[in-house]
Amino acid sequence: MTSRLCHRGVYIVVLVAGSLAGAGAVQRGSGAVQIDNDDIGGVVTSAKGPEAGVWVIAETKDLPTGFSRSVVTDDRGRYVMPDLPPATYQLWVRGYGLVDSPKVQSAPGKIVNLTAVVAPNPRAAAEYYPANYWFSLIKWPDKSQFPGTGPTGNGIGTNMKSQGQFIENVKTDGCLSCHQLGNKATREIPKTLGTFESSQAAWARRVASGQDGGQMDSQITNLGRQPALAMFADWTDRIAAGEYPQDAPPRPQGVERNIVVTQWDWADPREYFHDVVASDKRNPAVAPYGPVYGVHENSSDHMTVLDPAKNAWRQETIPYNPKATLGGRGGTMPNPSPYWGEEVIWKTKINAHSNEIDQKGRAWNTSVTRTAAEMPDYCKAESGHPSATLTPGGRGNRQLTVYDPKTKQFDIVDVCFGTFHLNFAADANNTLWSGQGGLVGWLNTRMWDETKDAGKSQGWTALILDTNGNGKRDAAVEPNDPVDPTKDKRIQASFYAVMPSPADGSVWGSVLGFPGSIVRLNPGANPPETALAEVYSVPWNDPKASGQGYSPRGLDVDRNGVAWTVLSSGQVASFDRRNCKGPLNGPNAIGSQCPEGWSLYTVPGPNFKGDVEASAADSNYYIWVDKFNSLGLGDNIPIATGNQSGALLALVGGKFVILRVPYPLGFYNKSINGRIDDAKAGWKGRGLWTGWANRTPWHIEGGKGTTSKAVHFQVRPDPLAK
Amino acid sequence: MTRAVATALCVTLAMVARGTATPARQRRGGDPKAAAIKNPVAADAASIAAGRDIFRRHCASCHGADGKGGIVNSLVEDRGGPPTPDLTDDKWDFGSTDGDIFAVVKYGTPPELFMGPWDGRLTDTEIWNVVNYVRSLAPGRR
Repeated sequence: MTSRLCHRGVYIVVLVAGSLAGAGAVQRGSGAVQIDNDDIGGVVTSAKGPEAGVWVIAETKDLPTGFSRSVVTDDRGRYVMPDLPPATYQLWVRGYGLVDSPKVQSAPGKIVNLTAVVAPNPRAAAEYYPANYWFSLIKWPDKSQFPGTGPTGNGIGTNMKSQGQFIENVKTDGCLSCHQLGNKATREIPKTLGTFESSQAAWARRVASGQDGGQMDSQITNLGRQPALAMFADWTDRIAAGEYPQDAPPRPQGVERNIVVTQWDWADPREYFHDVVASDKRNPAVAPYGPVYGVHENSSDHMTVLDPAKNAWRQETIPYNPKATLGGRGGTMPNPSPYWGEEVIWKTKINAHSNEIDQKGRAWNTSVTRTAAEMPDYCKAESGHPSATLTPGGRGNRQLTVYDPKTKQFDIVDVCFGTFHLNFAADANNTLWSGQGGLVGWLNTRMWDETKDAGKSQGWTALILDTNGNGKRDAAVEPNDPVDPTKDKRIQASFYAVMPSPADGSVWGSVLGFPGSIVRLNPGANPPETALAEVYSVPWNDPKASGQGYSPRGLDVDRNGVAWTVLSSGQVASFDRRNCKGPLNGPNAIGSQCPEGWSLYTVPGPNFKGDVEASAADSNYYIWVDKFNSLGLGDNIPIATGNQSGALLALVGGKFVILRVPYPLGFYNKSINGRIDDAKAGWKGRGLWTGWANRTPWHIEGGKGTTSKAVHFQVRPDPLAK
Repeated sequence: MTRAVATALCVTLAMVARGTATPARQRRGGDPKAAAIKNPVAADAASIAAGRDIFRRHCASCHGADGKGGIVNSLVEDRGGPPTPDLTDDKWDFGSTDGDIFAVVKYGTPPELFMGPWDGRLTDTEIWNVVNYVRSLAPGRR
């Protein structure tokens, strides 16, 4: 970075550090930064001198929706907040080792030197640490307590076979699949929850609150009620008594100081998002400067649409089959929410989970359009549909809808397989893949566009391992049956993530559980008759593997065909099938046949104390590979969501670059999408899009009334680029 | 080991671990011992009303206020599981007698379905009230 700065030759060391704003759109005197009329710039100093690697945040409510932008100071405390829409902004400084500075009002075109405030003590500084630092203070039940022996034994659930499995069921496959644990809202007990005889009783009440109280309460029972509640109570009791994380997070370094984060408020504060999409993952030049779409899973039937150019959002209602008898979510709860009382805030019938944009800029959603029992005739075995003949469809929760921004109309595409995540193959048919519950399905969108015949345009398959090793799909034994060397074997593997490989057309999926696995499906020439699967378990207690981990969730495949996933154990993992030495079919190829294919990379940040079966306190929900340098860190860069660290984690050259969202505290997302608006516009013409996906936006800094945000990440060539 | 095999093992171990005269998590298709338990609470209006209140508070967020199910529990769905079942149709996945339904509520279903035991959180009488309420949702069906 220094060499780049020197090469540019336009920035001079700032010698004056005052808190007064100076007027002017260009460099002032001999020491200030250079800005344009739509920028704000200046210097950040504290009692200790220039503050390097701290954030300057600008926020306004003047635009059609709430807007904020953050940048990082360079090694001399200088900053440039580029390209702000005309408005009056509140500016302040946030950083590790500081407490927030007083807010200063200003506008684009001005030099604003800011005075940072050094934290009076480490405890005050820790209030700004990411949630994973606070979560690292939790004390898991000791490894000796596993396997759990149930309510009549040690209280730990009998299906918790190891400490790692217990951690998994709190992290990415439990509490942390919806929440960030360790943010201020969760590391404290809200007074509005009530008064209780013990913290354990308070936690018992807390986890049974609101519309998802039943689900949360069930998960606590699954873990083992008394030990789980005692663990959480102990954690918050120690924090209430003054315990705080002893290790401070590192301030942004190197390229991390070049990051610009822009956010727009969107949707109602009751609505949370699952996935957000802005372009075609196969070609990020699709839909330049266009809308950004988000869907709301359990919280509403809306598709929220951001127009970044106008700083405004609107909502469309995703339709379902008008003849369907959808019941929707229940309007009751075990106990009132401490935030919303008895108000029924989630009313969805369509439960849209994920979305993707196609080559025409249309937004495809996985959403409920009918009940499972209302499946079309072409899903049934007697229909003669080639897929139904092999495996009748019908059990799926969701189907497909597609929104065309040109006509502003939705179409329903009824499919016989469950949909969850979805992704397009880079093939002539623009095949859309999805799956759930043991079936993987596809829609030939070219054929559907031409015929609107959903039955004819789709197919699906069970997952069949070639355990007899003859390279063909044959009669198969069932999942609970032992391997029969003369037959193939069906596996009951439910795809969470799905991604076609750009390298060879195979389709990869992640399978949750402990230790979990990833599955490669080769459709063959004539699926489903030719479709064969391979399963690769995550290496756990496998001495042949170079690393040990468990429980994948998100998944993507890079341009070389390498599958990338994130593990609940605290690692990013890659699986390169080209490294496999042994046979990948046959009776022994049922999961552990290729430990040499795996490489694990521990994510940054603290780990839990003691001898624990985990590598990091961060929790990583999803991963996406920036195949086409949408961000500016290069081609084929895996980027994981840091759901506990309030960040995206880009793996560049074997090291993580942390793209932290400093404000509001609590950033948590589940999807990442790149878009190149203008390939000739340098850093300004590209960036990543995502959205806050915490199910409880009221846990975000700001509390009840705070909305989720659409987020745009950009990487400048240096911290002062304007 | 496949997930399905692991799950089956979990269920089996859960049953063995309890080791008492009463069943552990209720088995698919029902359990003869559970089926034999007689309902000691008359299905009168008071019991059904009491069961309705409990159901609305503790059960409806997963099973729906009308018991028709179809609600997606994300933690179940993530692992490939189905939406919650319709308690008003003519199918009983875990047995159809009052005793079977009582056992489902009291001892829970296999862990992968995330319906944990209510033993210790509801009294037996309260559970019987719930049974009577669920029965009342589709009175002609057994």
